[in-house]
Order: sequence, then C-alpha cells, then structure tokens
Amino acid sequence: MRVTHLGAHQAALTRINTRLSEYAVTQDQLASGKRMRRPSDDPTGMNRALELRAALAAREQEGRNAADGKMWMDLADSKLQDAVGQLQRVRELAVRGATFTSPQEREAIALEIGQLREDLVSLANSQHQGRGLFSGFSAGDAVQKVGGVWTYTGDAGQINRRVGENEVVTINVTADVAFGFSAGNDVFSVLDSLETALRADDTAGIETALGNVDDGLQTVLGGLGILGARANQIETAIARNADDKITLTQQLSSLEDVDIAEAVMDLELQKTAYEAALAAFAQSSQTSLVDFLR
Amino acid sequence: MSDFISLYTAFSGLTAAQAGINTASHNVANASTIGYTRQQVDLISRTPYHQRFGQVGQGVDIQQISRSRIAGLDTQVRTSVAAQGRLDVLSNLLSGTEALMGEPNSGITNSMSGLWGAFDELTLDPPNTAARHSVISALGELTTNIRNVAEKWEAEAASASSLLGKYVDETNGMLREVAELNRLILSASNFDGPPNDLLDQRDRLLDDLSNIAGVTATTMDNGSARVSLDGLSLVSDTMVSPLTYDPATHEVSHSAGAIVSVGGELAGFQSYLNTELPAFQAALNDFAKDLADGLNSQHAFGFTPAGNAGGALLNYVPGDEAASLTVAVSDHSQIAAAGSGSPVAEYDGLNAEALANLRSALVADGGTVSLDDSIRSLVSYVGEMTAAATSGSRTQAAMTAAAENGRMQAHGVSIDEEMVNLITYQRAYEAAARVMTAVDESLDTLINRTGVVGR
Repeated sequence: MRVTHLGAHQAALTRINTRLSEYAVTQDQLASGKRMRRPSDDPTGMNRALELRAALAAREQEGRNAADGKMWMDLADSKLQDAVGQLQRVRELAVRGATFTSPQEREAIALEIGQLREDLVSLANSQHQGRGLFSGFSAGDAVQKVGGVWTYTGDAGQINRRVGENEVVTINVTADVAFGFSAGNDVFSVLDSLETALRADDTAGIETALGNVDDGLQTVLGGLGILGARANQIETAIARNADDKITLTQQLSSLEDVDIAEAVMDLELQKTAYEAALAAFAQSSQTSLVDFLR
Repeated sequence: MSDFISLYTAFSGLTAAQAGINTASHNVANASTIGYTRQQVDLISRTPYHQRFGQVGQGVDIQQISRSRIAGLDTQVRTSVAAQGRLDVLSNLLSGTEALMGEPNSGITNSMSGLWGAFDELTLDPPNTAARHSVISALGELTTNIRNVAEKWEAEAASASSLLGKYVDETNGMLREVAELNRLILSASNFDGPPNDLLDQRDRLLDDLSNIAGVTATTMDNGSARVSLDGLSLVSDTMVSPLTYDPATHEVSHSAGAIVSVGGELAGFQSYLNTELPAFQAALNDFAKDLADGLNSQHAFGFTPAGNAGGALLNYVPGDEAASLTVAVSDHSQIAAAGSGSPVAEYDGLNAEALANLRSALVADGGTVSLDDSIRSLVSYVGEMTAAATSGSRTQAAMTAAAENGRMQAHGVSIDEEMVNLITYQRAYEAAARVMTAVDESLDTLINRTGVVGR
C-alpha cells in the first residue's frame, strides 16, 4: 500500500482526536457524576429516569400528605380518648347519683355533669390549624345548641389524603358520627336529660340516662375504632412511602449516576491509549528518507 | 545523419531529467497542500531514425506532466462527504432542539411535578390563600416553560430556514466557480498539456459541492466537469443552472422549475425543517392541548369559594396550542377547589383532590396515556432522533475519514518517493551531461585531431 506523509499525519491526527474525545467524555462523566446529561445520551434510560423522577416527586408529596393526615388523626384520636374519659366519669357520677339520695350531693353531681358536658362540647368543637376536627368541610363549630336543641352544625365532608399511588385514606370522623347525632342519641342531650333527672331525683330517668350514656360511650369508642383502623393504614403507607423513596432513589442513581470505580478505570485506560497514540505519532513522524541522504 | 545527433539525444535526456527534478520539487513543495494530486512526468522514447543496419534511438520526449489520480476514489469520497454533510447538520440542529427543552433538570417534566404538588398542597388546606396562589404560580411556570420551548423551536426553525437559503446561495456561487474553472480548463487544454493545478482546484470544489448539496459530478471527454443533481444538470461546460430556495415549503428547485431532491448539508436542513421538527412541534401542541383540556374539564366540575363553577384554568389558540398557552386564572378566588356548590363548605377540597389525581389519569393522547407519560415520550422521542443522528454522524465520520485517507494515500505526495525520484532524475541528469561530454570529446577528436598526420 502506498503511504503518503500527509495521509499518515492526518490518520494519526484522527486517531489522536478520537482517543482524546473518548477521554474527555469519561472525564466529563466523572466530573459531573452523571452518566446521562441529555436525553440523547440514552433515550430509553432518560425516559425511565424521568419516570422515576416524577414518581419520586409524587412519593415525596404523598409522604407530606400522609404526615399531615397522621398529625390530624393523632389529634382527633387524643380528643376522642379525652371524650371517653369524660363519659366514663359521667357514668361513675350517674351511678353515684342513682344511689345517694342527698339533694345537695345530687346538685353537686348535676353541676359537675354540666361542666363535663361543656368540656365535651369544646372537645367536639376542637380545631386543628383553625379548622374543626369533627365538623367535616364546614368552617364553624361542629356542635351547637340551635333553638335549645343540641345540633350537629358541620357537614358530612370526608377529608381525604392521597398517601400512595391510587391509595386514598379518609382522615376524619365527624361529630355527627362520633357523638351519636346520626344515631339519634347524641351524648350532649343525654347529659342534659341526666342533669335534669338528677336535679328532679327521678331515679327512672337517671337509669334511662345511664343506659344512654353507655350507648354514647360505645359510639365514641366506635369513632375511635374507625380512626384507629385508618391510622394503621396511614402508618403502613408512611413506612412504605419511606421504603419506596429509598428504592426509587437507588434506581435513579443506578440509572443516572456514573459508576465511579468503572469510570476511573476507563479513564486510566483511555489516558494510556491517548498517550500511546501521541507517542506513536511522535516516534513515527521523526524520520524520512531525507534524514539518510547526504 | 548528422554526427551531432547524439548531442541532441543527450540534450533530450537533460531536459527530461530537468523536468523530473522540477516536478519532484513541485510535489515536495505541495506535500502538505490539501487536495493536491501528485504529478508525474510521463516520458516516451522518441521515434528512432533508420539506418541500413537498424533503428537508432533519438532520445526521450516528455509526453505530458499528469496527475496520478484514480477517479473511483473521488466518487467514494464524494458519496461519503454528502452523507456526512447531511448527518452533521441534522445532528447539530437536533442537539440544539434537544438542549432547548432543558430536560431533565429544568424542563416541562419538572414543572409538571411542581403542578401536581401544588394541587396536593391545596388539598391539604383548601381555603389557604398561599396554597391557592402556589397553584396559579405553578400553572404560570408550566405554561411559560411550554411556551418557551415552542417559541425557541420556532426561532430555531426560522434560523435553520434562513441558513438553508444562504447555503443554497453558496451552492450557486460554487456552481459558478466550477463553470469558470471549466472555461479556464477548456482553454488551457487546447494548448499545452493538462492544467493539473486547475484540475486539482476543481476537484476540491466538487468535493465541497458534494458536501453541501450532494451533487453528482462527471468529467466529460473535453475535460469539463458536468455537475448534476437529481438527474438535472447544474453545470454543463460553462453553463450554470442555479438553484432557488422556497422558504415557505423549504424546497429547492432547479432553474427549469422542477423541485430537486438535494443531498448533503442542504438535505440535513430540509429533513430537520420538514420532518423532524414538525413532528416534535405537533407532539408538543397535542400535549399542550391535552393538558389544557384535561385541567379545564376537571376544574369545571369544581366550585369557587363564592359558589361559582370553575372556569378555564388554561387558555390556548387552537392549532397553535403550545405557543399560545396561557394561564386563565389570575386571582386565588377563581380556583375551584370544592367538590360541591350548594353550599360551598370552606374546607371542601374534593376538586383539588381530583385535580391532583389527574397526575396518573389517562387524559392524554385520546385517553390512552397520562399527561406525564405524554411529555416524557416527547422528550425521549427528541432524544432518540438526536441520538440516531449523532451516532450516524459519528459512524459516517469514521467512514469519511477512511475514504478521504484512502484517497490521500493514493493521490498525495510521499516524501520518500519524491526523494527517490529526485535522486533518479539527478543521476539521469548527471549521466546525460556525461554523455554530452563524451560526444563532445569524440567530436573534438574528429575535428581537431583528424587530418593532422605529419603536421
């Protein structure tokens, strides 16, 4: 084969450039830590990476949603626990009121029951960040006396939190359900009638009210049960969410990030290849026939 | 015959050797000239004269100084550089198009995640003014991003089109140069030998023409080059038929009126303007339309705090969806977060929840994929096209380099070879001079030494 000097030089230059550009690509990857910088570096990989990024953003939002829901439910749970405590105290007082006959004592008991009822009302109307815990979507108080009758003044709104892909948890119970309005036996009216019966020393009335207090207690406990089941669901979701985020981050990293050890090895190899190409050119381009003619 | 004939024979040798040395020197001087073809002196022995004892040689003639060129290699190189030109231009334009999307860090996909997050936050606290404002600003960021990509693509198309026009002008200029060289070559060939250096110049020009427009060049019997494209003649002898560019259709036509299918860099521009970019733009418009329609129809199901049904969230001009996409809501009270309107409960976030759930709803592409999927597949479509053009251009570059190198090896100057030639001709020159001396000495003997016996 005929070889010309210009041709040989051009070919050597092409080889050197190729080696150098490979070296530069690896250097760039190592410096940025990313294997893919543009969609065209790996279109399929980039599609997957964007999907993972979107999923990661969604999981992070769901994590926030779940944490918000959890806070809400913890608060509602503790309020209902308090309500259970108050109702048990009411029950004890009612039993005492049925057995002791001193009017002063009954009056004292009636007073305390009135106080407990007010406590229960404020529990039912308790708020979280300015928003009624048991009033559904409604902004006002959950429980009020309307025209002398205890009334649920919230609505039936179900507050939902998206806590996973296609997983929605309802985080609230309304006072309508938890305090017995929907069952037609709200604890506030029961306490009213208990108070009245105690003052009137109406033993039969006290007995009836006592039974109703027991029912009310069951209703509140039922509300607690609903919350508890959902709290479990949300806790599972939070744990899974944390796992998902780790998995997604790992997948994204293995897809986008450079394997440092491998890249360093490649860089060394490419550096050697580049230097070899340079050395070969330096050696070969030194001589021609001219050097040997006198 | 004359006794002096041998002097002329030796002189012919001197002249030939001189020409050889001159040519070798020209070759060495052009050893680094790109596109230079090694020249060689073609020698032929002179017609002998007849004696009764046989034919006596009369020395050497220089037939011509020719280029040692193999035409087949030109065809290979030109086919290769035409393909190279197309892929280089295409991959450059597509890389630009891809970069304008700003993926994966600051592109539309990013703003989409931002929007879904804003809807989710609104669900957490529906009456919160800040949450409502962040929905509006997330919409603003997303639409700005989409509009930006659409507008920049449009600007890219405009600049590619004007460049294509300039390249067509440049092609025409080169065609005229070829015609001018044809004229010079035709007139030079009539007198003395092939005009090698003009031929080199024309060959270089034809390489460039192949690269820019993918033309076909044939050398005619009279030595002129005929340049044609798509079967239509562009240069014939000294006649030029220029190309014209239509910016509206991006088509290039022959002066006779017919649209020609161009190659080379022109084809790269054309393919980008007529095939790749319109496909991207159509996909972006579809996405913008699906996005606006999807959000608007869900928003219309909801109610604003004042109890009105939700209006449009996004506006667009049909047919130019992406570039005209704007946010239709300006005040937080226009956001319809509530799911029920009679009456509107303050903390009702059911429609905000439904809007957030559009994240995974199949509302794009005629209800077959989600909006996120739709924009993602556009990103990877652009990526695939760019990757294909870039890797094609890289592969083609290796092939072009190989073809060009092969031709350079065949046509170029080898210093070693020229040194050998130089020594050969130098020795031939010395020998011819020696012959002259010998003849001169014999003549001296004949003229001055004969007939002097007994003087």
